[in-house]
Amino acid sequence: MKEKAILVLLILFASVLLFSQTTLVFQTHWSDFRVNGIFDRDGNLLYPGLKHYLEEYEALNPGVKIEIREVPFGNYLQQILVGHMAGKGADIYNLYSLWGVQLAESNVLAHAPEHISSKVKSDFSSTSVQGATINGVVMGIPAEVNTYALIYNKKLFEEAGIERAPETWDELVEFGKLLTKKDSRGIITQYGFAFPMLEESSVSDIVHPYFALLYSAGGEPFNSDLTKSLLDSPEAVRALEAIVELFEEGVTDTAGGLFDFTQKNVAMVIKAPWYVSYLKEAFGDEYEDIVGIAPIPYIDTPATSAYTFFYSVHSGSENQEEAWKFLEWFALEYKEAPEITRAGELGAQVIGVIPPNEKDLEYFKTKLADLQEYVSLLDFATSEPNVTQGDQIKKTIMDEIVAAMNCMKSPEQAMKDAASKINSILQSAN
Amino acid sequence: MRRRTTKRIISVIKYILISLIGFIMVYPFLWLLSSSLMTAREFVSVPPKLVPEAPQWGNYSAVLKRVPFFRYLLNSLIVATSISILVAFTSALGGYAFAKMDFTGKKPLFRFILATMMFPNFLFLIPNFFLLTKIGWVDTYLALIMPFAVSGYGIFLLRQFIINIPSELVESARIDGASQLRIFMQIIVPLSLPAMATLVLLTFVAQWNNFLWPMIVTSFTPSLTTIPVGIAKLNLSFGSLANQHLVLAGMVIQILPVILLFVFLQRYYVKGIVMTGFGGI
Amino acid sequence: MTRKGRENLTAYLFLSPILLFFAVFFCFAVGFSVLVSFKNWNMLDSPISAPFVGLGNYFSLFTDPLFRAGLLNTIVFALVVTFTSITLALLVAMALFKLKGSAVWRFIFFAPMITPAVAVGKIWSYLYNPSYGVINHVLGWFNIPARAWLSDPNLALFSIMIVAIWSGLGVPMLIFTAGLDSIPTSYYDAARIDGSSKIRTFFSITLPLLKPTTLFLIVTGMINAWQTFDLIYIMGGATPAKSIQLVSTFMYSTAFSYMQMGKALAASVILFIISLITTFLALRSFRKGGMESYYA
Repeated sequence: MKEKAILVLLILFASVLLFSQTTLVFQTHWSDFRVNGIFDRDGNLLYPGLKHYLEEYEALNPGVKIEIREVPFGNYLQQILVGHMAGKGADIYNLYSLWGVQLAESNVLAHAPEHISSKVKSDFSSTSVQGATINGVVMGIPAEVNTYALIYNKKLFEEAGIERAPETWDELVEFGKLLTKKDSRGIITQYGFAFPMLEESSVSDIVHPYFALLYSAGGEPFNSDLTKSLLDSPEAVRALEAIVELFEEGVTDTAGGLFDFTQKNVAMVIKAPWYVSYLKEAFGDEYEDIVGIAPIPYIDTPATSAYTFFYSVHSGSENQEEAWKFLEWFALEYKEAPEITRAGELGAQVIGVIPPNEKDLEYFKTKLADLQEYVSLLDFATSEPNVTQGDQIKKTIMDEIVAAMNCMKSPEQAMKDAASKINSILQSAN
Repeated sequence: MRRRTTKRIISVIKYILISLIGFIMVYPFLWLLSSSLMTAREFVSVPPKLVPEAPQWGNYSAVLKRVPFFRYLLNSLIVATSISILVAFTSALGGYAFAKMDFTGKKPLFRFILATMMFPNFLFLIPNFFLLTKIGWVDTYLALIMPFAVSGYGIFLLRQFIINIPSELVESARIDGASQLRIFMQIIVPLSLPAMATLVLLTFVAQWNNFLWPMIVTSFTPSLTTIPVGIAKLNLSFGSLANQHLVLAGMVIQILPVILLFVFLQRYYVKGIVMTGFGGI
Repeated sequence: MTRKGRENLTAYLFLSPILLFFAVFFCFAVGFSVLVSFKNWNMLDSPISAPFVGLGNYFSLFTDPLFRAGLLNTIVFALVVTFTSITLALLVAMALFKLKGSAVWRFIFFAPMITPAVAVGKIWSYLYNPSYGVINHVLGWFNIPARAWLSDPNLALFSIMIVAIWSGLGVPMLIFTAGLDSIPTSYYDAARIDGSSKIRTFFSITLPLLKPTTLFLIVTGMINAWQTFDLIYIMGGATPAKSIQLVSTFMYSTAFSYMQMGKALAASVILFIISLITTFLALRSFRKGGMESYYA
């Protein structure tokens, strides 16, 4: 009788355990070493990747399992839309803020619980909190804040006899002319400067530098309540003219995007800090000698643009509480020593982005030299406006910029068209 | 005399044209093979190199380690084979009905089936995905298989073929009291095997190469990834130029099976094309 | 039950899996898509509650420069690719006619067709690369200036069309071979006896006899070309959207990047109507006995 009772109890216990197993799906655009970690030559783990943190949490919380869903950046929005519609959404999203606006307005994202949002407001840098706040409500925990800077090849600069990075945009054009080399066919073999064109991140890599120039010329992309486009302003046209100048002067062309900084035939690019980790992986020991980072050359005053990511929870998730619990442990709680968040550690060490948490920022500022430059740019950075239909607007802007780059339109015409298209998008959305 | 020289000139022109075009057809594959054995550096050298200094077989082992190629192969095999078999059978059933039976609504129904072939793919993506989540199949092979289990092309093909089977065979069997089902299983199917086999092949190849739908479905269940999606993924995971050698090796691995299959089964595939005039389902 | 009734029942039983399939995976989808094409749906809210806009999406398509560009590009794409591949295929089929070792040739012309479009696209992207790509290199031998094939808006569509032709040559070539095969040699003998030149023979005997085949290939080629997506998706990248937009990619980005599913579905309905018209012509060519006479 007693044995039977124990058996029954055991079975009950086991089934309770079984049924109380929660599985969370964590969706991110990270892949490869960002998920699996960075190893040294002998196969020892140098820096843990996302999955190691997840495993750590799972070990501490035996009823919880977290799956990683890797989705390439280019498919990310599509994924969220299809998933939400079909009830297959993930529980946790590592989300690009620009998409957040529409998703929040359609109630796809859960509002952050009070204790989390107050901690976010108190412990995180204002730019990053701005990015995670939509219509006044904190929607999640900031994951990254990224500024744009100029990355240049010090060796190529040496060869061309240039001693420092360009400070103004005019200097950039001048230096570019010295650095660009062509072969007998007139094809550029070495680019003084290149814009990426065919990568997933290309839209951002073209529009954000443009915004940086716009800000440095004293302009704004939108009016203060984000209902009207200001791209037909003279500052906007000036900013585009500055970009087109590079093409007109033969410093770069549209095929530049097919070249790679890692192949050492591009002297300057404008990129966000995550690119730095790619360069570190590609250059290895040579990284220190080759890579230089400087502020984006400005038109009138120094400025740069920034964008943010944040961790959020799907409103359709059946495990919202568990999801927030995990995020709290991952991105809000501080480790014993050093006093940093695990998310911040992952971000700074492996993903190569600026940690948005103030304490993480303090700690890593001293540790990672290359981040310093990006961090110092936070002072001049203007965060990407969280405008509705942001993705479509950005693509529209990119189309017009590229048309001007290809001399299909004058910069003035391009910006005029951009403004009118954007205004009609904003009108039909509101 | 003149005629012979003109004939010869025409011959020469013919040979040059054929060789040129033939070369252009094959070259990209040769290029792929050769490039997959280069180092990343060699691959991007200017001017481009024709052959690698030393074949880098390591590229293959490297990419095999990082990419679950066998999983993709298995998935593609399961999906393509299942669809082909389903299509063959439903087409034979339908083809027989349209070819040898008379029933109300035959003509309009046939026209309807033909009409279904004209609808753009895109129309079906989201509704079917939605439907599959409701049925609960969306994270199984069924999601990749069932939306393609019946093919208008297949029905058309089998109908054309079965029409040519002498009706006397069917008639005499009916007189003997055989049911339609028996006639189908014991007379029609055996006689239609060549057509069915060809249909299986055509469908197999077309489904193997299907990209958009599997991309959407497998993005939620990566364990179902098929080969074309795998190739696209390669491209995304190893985007930087430093890793292109992996992309190339990966592509060779993923393209090879179908090409090998084709080498052996050319004849039937070709026959099928001729019979329907279609290269796909 | 009457005899007719029994016959009907049997026939429909045979057709039941097919009918079930169409009911589930076809009719629902079409109904859904057509309904939603009259709505403004961003895929996040329920489709039922999405606002009804009547023909609004259709009107917005006609005034959308991207859609117009896509339509134009698709028409150009379909016409050029179809007619060029057919012409080339005919020439090749004639040249290969009765040549030895045809299995090898068949394979050569077919390999591109059985390779996934994504692989084909990727390979050609490499070949087109302005600096380390083979094409510019070879052009250099003839002193032709090198170009940025995929990123120059004037060239991008053209470059992709070449790839489409390359991969689609196999089918028409084969069909023409079958067609050529079925022309009785007695016709040619008679022509020779009459002293007709090769060229005249071609235009007065071969071509007319191949007419139904050609017509058929044209129509099916166009329908296939309309549906091209994979190739553009892989090769398109971020070239200025207008120059490389096809209706298929337009639908995809309108739905998944701009979150305007209703509009995208309206575009697909328009695409269907166009295919319908082209298919009518195809059915006509079937009736003319197009293919049937070739495998008697």
